Amino acid sequence: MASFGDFVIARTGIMSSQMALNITGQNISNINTTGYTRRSLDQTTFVLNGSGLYRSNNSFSAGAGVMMNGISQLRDPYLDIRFRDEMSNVGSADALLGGLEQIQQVINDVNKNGITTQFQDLLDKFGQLNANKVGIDEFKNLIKNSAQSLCQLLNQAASKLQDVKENYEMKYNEEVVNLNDLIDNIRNINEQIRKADINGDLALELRDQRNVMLDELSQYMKVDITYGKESLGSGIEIEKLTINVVDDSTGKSGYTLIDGINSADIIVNSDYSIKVGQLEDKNGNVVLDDKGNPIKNGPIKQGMGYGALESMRQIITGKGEYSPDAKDTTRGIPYYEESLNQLAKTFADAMNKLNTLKPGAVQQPDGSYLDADKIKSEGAGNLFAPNDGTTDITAANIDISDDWRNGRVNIVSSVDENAPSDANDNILRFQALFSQNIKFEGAQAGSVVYNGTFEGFYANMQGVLGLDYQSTAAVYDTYAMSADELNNSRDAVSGVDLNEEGVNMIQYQKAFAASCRMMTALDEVMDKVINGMGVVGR
Amino acid sequence: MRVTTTSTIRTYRSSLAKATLGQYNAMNLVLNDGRLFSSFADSPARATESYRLHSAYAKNQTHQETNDTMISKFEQAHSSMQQISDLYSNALEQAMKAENAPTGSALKELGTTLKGVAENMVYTLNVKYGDKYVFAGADGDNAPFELTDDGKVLFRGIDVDSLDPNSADQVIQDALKMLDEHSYVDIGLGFSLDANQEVIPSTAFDSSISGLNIMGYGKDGNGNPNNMISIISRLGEIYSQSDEEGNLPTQPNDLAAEADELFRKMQDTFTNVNTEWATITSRAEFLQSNDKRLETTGDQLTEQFTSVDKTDMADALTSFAYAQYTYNAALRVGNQVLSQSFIDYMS
Repeated sequence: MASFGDFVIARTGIMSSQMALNITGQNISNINTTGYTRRSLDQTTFVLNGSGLYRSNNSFSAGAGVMMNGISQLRDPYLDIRFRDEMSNVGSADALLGGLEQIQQVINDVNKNGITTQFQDLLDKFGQLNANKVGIDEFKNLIKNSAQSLCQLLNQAASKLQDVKENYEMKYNEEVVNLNDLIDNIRNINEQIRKADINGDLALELRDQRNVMLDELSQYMKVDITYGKESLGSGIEIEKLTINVVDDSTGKSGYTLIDGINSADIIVNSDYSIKVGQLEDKNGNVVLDDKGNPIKNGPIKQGMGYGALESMRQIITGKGEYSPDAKDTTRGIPYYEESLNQLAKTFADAMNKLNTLKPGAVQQPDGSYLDADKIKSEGAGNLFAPNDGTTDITAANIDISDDWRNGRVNIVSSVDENAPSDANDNILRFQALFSQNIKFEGAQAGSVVYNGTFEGFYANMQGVLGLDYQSTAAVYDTYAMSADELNNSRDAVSGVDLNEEGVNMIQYQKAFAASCRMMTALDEVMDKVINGMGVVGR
Repeated sequence: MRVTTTSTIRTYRSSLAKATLGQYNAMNLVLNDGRLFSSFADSPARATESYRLHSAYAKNQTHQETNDTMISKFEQAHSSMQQISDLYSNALEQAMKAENAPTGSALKELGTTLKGVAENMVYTLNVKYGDKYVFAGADGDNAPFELTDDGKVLFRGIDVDSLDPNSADQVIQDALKMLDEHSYVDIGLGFSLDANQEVIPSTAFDSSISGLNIMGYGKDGNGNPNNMISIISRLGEIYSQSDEEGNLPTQPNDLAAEADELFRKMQDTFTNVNTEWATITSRAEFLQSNDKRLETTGDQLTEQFTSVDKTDMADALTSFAYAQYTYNAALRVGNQVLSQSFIDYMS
């Protein structure tokens, strides 16, 4: 090595230490940056000597200093996969939990007056009427008022559930828009990384940003993320990111969402199911495979989806036992709407029947009843009716009938029109109705949602909701804890630690100072050579 | 495993949030009087159990209200029967005087008195509880008894003496159905209906009290009325027909003989009235014991749902103290661990 070669060694030492200090500074300053991956300097020994015909065996080289090869991000892709898998679980449970919580704000009578206590109140009013007050208008009016309150509570519950549903539908559509934006952003960032790759730039910041987006994407749906290669020709290959939606029914990769710089949109169908659109480039041109066919895409059918989006869909559409499809096991808002409707209709029909037909009346094939089966007593008629002009009673439209409100219809005390004034056989039937076990059937053949009283049915609704909520909360806690642990594991690889960076700071500072000292030592040596040699006798 | 500053902070933040939530829940437990849940989701099993107990309690309250009403009605009936008994004693006294051949116009006056007693009995049996006539069977809206000017006793418009079970007259047969009237109420005896939607009698309480059954109806083999009021009324009518010397007419009928028979019949009939009174008393006693049973059940249900719904304040406060201790410990640990790093010691 030439005389001044050692200066080069010292210089590379200074430069690499300074770069390492820069990286330490970068790591410390980004300690709170979401998605930041800690960096380290890749350096190797710089050697210039080589072998040759005239190489002397007595010639040695100490080396030419240190060479900086690049900057690495410390990341474990396997942990990323596991974390994102877990995040799809977290997203799914979280969205379900959010939906159930909103339903629970409507369907909850614990420790307050509501539908349950109103059923009890109505029964109490029948008891009061029957206790030596048969035929007394004041007591009949108490029943009418109590029944009206019950109708209003059912109307309110139905209306609030409708509000929850509308809010959730809006939120669902917004989330799909957000998801499509996210897909577009990932596609765009893929394009930027591609350009950087072509130019030989590491694009570390872009990769960090993309990782954050991929983490976010994994909450919406279960995805399979692969890093492949794209050939640019002449043997040059660059990274290509591909994201496929995982089909939850098979556990395998399904439709392609992003393929490098091409992406597909998520489209919401009218029944709130979603489908993956065609893979398109950024200009909207459909991407074709090697054979000239569009890349396979299509609907995410029942059982195929998983993640926050699917959970939200289930909250909006899940009918549970009221769905004719046995696969639809989720109890979302429609399940509780159907339950309330069934409660309102069954109750109103039973009450109307008791006030219009004699016991044992048999419906004729055309739906009518024989005249002999009809109650002839004064006041006989329907007690409940829809208030919106329709024919079917639901929780939203149940009301006391106009005839009952105006006094043309009243509670029939006895089905015998010639009965004495205190005859109460029919009031007893009304009373018994509240204790009667009624079979509430689901939509699937033979399925029974509940077998019990009206009051019990509503309590059962709350119990089902409570259990669903509790089990979903437990599932969410488990997934969230697992995701937290995985995040910590990821952090163990990729996260910045102040202790470590502090130690690095000292280490690189020392190395920098030592290289500088080396420089001054060499300076002194060379000073001797230049200014001290050959001056003997001057 | 490499532990980083970020993961330490994240883990600490999550643990601190749990400790804060624990303290918040424990605080609410104390502030809400130890209430353990506010929705089914908080504790589905407890909430379901609580619902069943509250529902049973609500029914129990209705049963107690109904039972109380029935007790009042039967107390009223009992009180009226006491008056009937007093009136009977008065009638018996008058009739005994009449039997001892009073002279002059005394018998006539006794007749007038007995007619007054009969009238008083009718008034007594037309007593109301609330808006309903107590002794009207199942027709509480209408006064059950009426004494006509010619001394006939009518029950719900029918001459009680005409109610012969052997009569072929359909009107009489229909009227006799009044004796089989019931007015059941639910007082917590397992109330239920049979397949024909009729009450199973053993599961409900029959609240109807038929004055007809108590006072009697129809005529005996000698053609004398069985109804006590009718007997007293007839006796009064007979004695009223006595002349100035206190003699009763013998033509066309021997009224003295009829009066003798009616006097004996009156005493026999009172035995029947007494039996019916005892029945009313025993039904009232049943209501009293049922009231105690319902009260006890209500108290037990209150105790049960209170223990399901709430924890006692000592437990709530202990939980709060523990949660506070955990929270303080979390704060102390955080202060120690998070505030310093190697960098603080670099010179």
